[in-house]
Amino acid sequence: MEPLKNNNQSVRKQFCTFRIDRHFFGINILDVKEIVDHIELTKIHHAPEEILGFINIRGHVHLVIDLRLLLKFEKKNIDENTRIILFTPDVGESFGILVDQIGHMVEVEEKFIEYRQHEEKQSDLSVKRMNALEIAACKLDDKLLVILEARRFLQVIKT
Amino acid sequence: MKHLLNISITKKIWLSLSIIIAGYVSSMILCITLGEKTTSRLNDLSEFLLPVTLSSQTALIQYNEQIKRYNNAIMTGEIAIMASAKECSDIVHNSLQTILSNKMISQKNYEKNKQIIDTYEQFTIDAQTVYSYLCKDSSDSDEQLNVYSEKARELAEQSKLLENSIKSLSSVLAEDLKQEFSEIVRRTKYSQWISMVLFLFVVILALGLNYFIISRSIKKPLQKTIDMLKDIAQGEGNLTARIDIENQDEIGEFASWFNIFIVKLQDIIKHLTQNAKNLGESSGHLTEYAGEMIKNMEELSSSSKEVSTATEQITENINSMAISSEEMSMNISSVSDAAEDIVKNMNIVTDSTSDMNESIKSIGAHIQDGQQVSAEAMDLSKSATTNMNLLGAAAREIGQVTGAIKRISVQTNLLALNASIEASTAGESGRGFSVVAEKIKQFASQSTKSAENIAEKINDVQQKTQNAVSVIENVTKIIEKINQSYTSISLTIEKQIQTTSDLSIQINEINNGTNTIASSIAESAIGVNEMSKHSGEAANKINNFTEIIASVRNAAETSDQCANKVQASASELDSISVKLNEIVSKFIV
Repeated sequence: MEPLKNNNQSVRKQFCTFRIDRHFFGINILDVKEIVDHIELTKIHHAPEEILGFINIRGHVHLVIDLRLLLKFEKKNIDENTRIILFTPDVGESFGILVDQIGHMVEVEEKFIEYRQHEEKQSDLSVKRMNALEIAACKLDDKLLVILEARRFLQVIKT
Repeated sequence: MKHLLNISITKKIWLSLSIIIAGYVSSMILCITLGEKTTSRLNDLSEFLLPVTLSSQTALIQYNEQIKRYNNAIMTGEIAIMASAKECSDIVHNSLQTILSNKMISQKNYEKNKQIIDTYEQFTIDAQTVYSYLCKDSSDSDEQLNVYSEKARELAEQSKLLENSIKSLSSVLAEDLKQEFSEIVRRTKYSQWISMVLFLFVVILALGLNYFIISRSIKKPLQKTIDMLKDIAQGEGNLTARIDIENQDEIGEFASWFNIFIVKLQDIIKHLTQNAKNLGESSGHLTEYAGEMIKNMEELSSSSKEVSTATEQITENINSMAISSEEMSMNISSVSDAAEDIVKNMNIVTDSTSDMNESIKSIGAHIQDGQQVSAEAMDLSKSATTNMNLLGAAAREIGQVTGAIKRISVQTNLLALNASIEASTAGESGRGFSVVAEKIKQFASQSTKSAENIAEKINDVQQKTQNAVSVIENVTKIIEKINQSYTSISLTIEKQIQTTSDLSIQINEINNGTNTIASSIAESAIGVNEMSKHSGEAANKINNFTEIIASVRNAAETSDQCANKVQASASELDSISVKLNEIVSKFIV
């Protein structure tokens, strides 16, 4: 969003990357508040399946969403590589997502990012969600980085 | 009958043939006589009955012709016809007369015929007159005409009656003829049957007679003779049997001659039997004598054999005694040599045992040193094992430390990530901090890698420590075994020392004893030599005696063989006589 060095130079963007299954995803780093490895969840009954529960971080309570279930992957138990990405209050009411493994910071030039055309006419719910969440794709040297929009996670659950 | 049986066979055969021929001839004669009878009857028939019948038939026909001519004459009125009627009446008359004259005609027919003839004569005369008148003139008065007409009517009636009677006569005669024919046929059949029965009877009679002659007088005596011959020929010849002479024909003669032959044969066989019996008895005696002789000879032979074996044994014993005594003397001299050698050797042994005693003692001392060394080695290996175990424990502790290092580096990594997030949020001002965070992250990953390396190394060390511990354990075991061996060796050596000292004492004693033995042996050698000489002489004498006995035995054996031969001949003779007896006994005399 913001120019990093020079305005006439190419615009660069930073993404916090993570893995679910074998797929490589990224989120704008300005939306991320913190990454947590200490996972102690409090379950919410009667909540949708994707909502795992609450987590207490230094006295602040955050809602935790299982991104696996949200993206229609199979459920997986929490292990030593599992992390929670917490988002800034700009994104929405304080919440985070559970991911399989956290990656590095990735810096990409704006011109390498391909934004997707939105087609709202899709009838299938999962495809609809996919279209809502995935906003762009970016080709790295050895793999494809799928960029998700953090602001839409809660919207998708609510719909 | 007796006479009949005594004629010869040829005559018997001729007799039987003539019986058959006679039977045949008699039956033929009978047939011929029967045929003759029939022929005579047939002749009678053709001579008498047939002409009578024919005459009656002719009479009937002519009578009818006469009546017809009368009628014609009346109708035509011609006298000439009347004349011809008269001719016919003559023929009728003749015919009737012929019948009457026949001798074969029956009384009843004769009477009837005679009556007919009378009536007919009357009728002919009347008819001639009446019909000639009627024919001549018809112009007479009616009265007369009426009379004649009346007469003619009467005549017509009479003619009818006459015709009937002639017809009946003719039919009666024809009937007679028929009867006669059937009678002849019947008789012919009867005679045929009779002749057949007779023929059969005669044939059967002839056959019976022939059978009687052949079976009784030819076959039966022949069969008897054959049976007798068979009996004699088939081994169990009964020579006492004789053929019965029944007839004086050829068979009888044959049988009588055969009987004479059998009598002669019987005499011969009787003589033969007697002789065979005598022979058997003699050969039996001979066998017995030969048996006794053999028995005696055998006894003699066995006795001489026993004596001979006994003397041989004595000879052998004496010889062996001589040999043994010689050997003994030689042995004793060698023993005395050996005893001297032993004495020498014993001295050497005594020296050697004292040397051995000393060397064994020094071995014992060395073994004790070895035992001590091995005990020390064991202690050392035990302390090495404990040290190794300590080393393993230390390595494990180090491994735990590396785990802690790994955890710390992961935490550091997360911290660095969060720091870089914070830095990027801060924008341009956080740029320097971001670089620092990146560095921290790099260090964290490096320390993780180092910790992993250390962990690997520690594992290696632990593995090797374990190997060393097991090796040391093996070494300890071996040292223990060595220690045990040393202990047992030292025990053995102690025993050895004891034994060796005992041995040296005993060897000294033996040495003394050996000297004494050597001198005694030399003395006994002289005595044995003398004994050997005496036994040699005795052996020579016994050998002479043995030779004499052997010659006696040879003589006995030779005579035994002769006796055996005699016995064999006798038994052969015996068996021959037995066979002869068997052959002869087959005949019953």
